[in-house]
Amino acid sequence: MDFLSPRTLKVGNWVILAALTALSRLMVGTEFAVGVAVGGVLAVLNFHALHRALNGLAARAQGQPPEQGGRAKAYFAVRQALRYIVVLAVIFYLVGSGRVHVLGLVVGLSTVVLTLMLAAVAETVKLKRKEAHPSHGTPHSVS
Amino acid sequence: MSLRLALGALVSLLLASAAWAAEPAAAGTAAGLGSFFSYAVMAAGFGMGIAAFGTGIGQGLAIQKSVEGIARNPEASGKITVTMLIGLAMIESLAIYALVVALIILFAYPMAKPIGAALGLKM
Repeated sequence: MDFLSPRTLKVGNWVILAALTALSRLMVGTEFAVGVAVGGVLAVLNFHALHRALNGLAARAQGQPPEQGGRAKAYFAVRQALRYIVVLAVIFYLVGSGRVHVLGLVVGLSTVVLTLMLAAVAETVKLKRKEAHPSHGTPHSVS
Repeated sequence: MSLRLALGALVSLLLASAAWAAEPAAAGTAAGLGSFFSYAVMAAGFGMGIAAFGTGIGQGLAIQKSVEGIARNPEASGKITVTMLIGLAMIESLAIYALVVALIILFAYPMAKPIGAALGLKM
């Protein structure tokens, strides 16, 4: 299983968001859990949009001569700017209106970072095990 | 040389703003509260500016190296794109944290009421 594939990361994001929201509901309270859920949904959707923008950039840039790469760059820049504006507007509204718990929002926004760190740790552990296995690599672990 | 000039301009700007903000603080509690909030606004603005500066440099370098890698070895574009996606998401989260902290300072600073009360103002 490839932990660092986009599909695994996307599924992992939702799983970790659900776990964080449930833990927050149980350990802190409903208002904090709502903040975690809202922040997490925003962060995960932002990650999806980033992935789509990068895929679009790669698809548009492929097969084009270098002098015609300006359209792909413009497409990516517009997508990035739109994404930033939407995220800024939503966070501005949430914090400014005081509708959600601010610390919960920060925890929710950390969902993607947490997923990436866990995926990196899982991938490293997998690689170490593979290297230490006699049939796959050297007979001893590298470190 | 340009770095020295930029640092000098930043220091003089900070010193000037401190002197400007410290003057009304001696005038009274309302002015003191005004200087407190002017410092808060400056902190939010500078914080977000520095975060955007660092994020811009970081993302620019990441994309530059990834594109160079893809140009050298187009067959590895899938792996490079995924690694770039992970790196960009990590870098971008820092800017989002800075944005949230700046907005907390501006709109939801938890110490605003205690500080206002300490200055003798009803908030």
